[in-house]
Amino acid sequence: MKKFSFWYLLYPGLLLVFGIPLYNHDRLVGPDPLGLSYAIYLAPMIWLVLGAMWSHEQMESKANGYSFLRILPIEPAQIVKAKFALVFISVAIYVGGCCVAFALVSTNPEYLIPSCAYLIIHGDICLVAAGLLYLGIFRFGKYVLIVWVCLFISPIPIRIFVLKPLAISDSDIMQFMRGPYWIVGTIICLVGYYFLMKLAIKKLSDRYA
Amino acid sequence: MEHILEINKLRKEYPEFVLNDIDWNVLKGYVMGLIGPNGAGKTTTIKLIMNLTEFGGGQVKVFGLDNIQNEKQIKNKIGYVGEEQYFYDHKSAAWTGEFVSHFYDKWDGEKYQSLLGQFDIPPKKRIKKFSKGMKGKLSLAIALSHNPELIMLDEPTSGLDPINRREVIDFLKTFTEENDKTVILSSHITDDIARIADYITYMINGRIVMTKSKDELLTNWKKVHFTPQSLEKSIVDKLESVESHMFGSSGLTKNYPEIQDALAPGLASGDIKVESVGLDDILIALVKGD
Repeated sequence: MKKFSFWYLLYPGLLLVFGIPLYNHDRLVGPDPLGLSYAIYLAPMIWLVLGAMWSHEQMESKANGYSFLRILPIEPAQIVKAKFALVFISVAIYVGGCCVAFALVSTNPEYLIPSCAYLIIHGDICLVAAGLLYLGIFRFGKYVLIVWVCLFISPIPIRIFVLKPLAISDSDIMQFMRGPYWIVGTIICLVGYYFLMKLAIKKLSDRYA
Repeated sequence: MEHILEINKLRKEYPEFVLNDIDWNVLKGYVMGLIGPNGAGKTTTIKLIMNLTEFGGGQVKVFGLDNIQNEKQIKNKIGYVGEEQYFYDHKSAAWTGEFVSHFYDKWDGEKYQSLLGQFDIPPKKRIKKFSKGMKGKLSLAIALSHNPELIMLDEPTSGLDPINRREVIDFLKTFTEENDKTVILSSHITDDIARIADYITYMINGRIVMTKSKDELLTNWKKVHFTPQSLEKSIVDKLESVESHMFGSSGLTKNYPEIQDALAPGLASGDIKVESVGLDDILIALVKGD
């Protein structure tokens, strides 16, 4: 896991570094102190964490990495757990980093929690998507990663074709995020991620058998 | 004597090939050569032992343990060089050694460095710039650096030039003699096997047709050249691959001591000549007789 963590951590690291200049104090405490609007721009970027999967799986495929690992004394469970752990850590770093930055610059606590909740929910969905992608990769091969591209662009059509026609505004989302739903959603997603990992272990073991 | 590998009724079916319920044992501390023509099932057998391909039936025990249920434990004690070598080829040999060291309980970093030096493998060069021979030697260095109890080599010299081939085989010969290791060496290059093997198994069309010690094979199998009427018909009938040519006939016996006395008069008169055979002659005779 340590050997490949660079690839996974590169993306959230870059996003955070390049995101820092965007944490514009005026934007958060200025005339429109809606931290959420800022979170709404930042959250979809989390999907780029899945880009690490793309890079790494491309590399594994090109180098016949799974064939190399197969001859070593490693159980499929170890391989899967390492990959799932790296995605989890990447998402946690990005979401955590964003939340810390929000907390540092935001002067209005009213907007802080919904903004962070919005980011966390995105992180949760990203984890589940990553779990499903790995499941697909172990079942059908790396071409499943094309789905990632669809996932990446999905926030845009959701905004255009779902939120706008239903007249769901940023304020409505913020209102929703004030409730306990995001905590419940996070728990469900984390449990789901765990079970996806278990399924992925079974799938890779079956493929190896 | 203890068996390090026990195979019972091992089966694997492909559309055009069947590994046919093979039974095979390998003694601890010896070098077993596995000889057969291309497509005989050597690689399939080795892959099944390593659990690298799906089982069709049967059981494999390595070190007395089931190879599927104890896969990790078994692989920890096997040094494996496959027909094709897989590495993260954008990485170096040094990185690869460091990477695999985390998975083996008895990884010996110093030995690995020493083997890289011995095989002239540059530690810092990217593996994708290595020749096929260098990749083979790197694979061998990894296989030998974690003090394996069993070394399995599947066509380790295929594709190597004669110099690299000889280097690898000579190294293996010295290594196995000095370290008292069990080795399974699969190859269709019989010269390689003849140089180091203690026991030989012939595999043809997915079946094991014979397992004998090399000395026994080379003592028992001889080529007999004879002129017409110099050899009794009952003896001629016992010969295999009998060929007639301008100066007489020749054939192979697989039990020379049994006919040795009957040949004595002909040998004395010069009408019969006996010649030692190579492992490839035996393979050809077995393939023809199959």
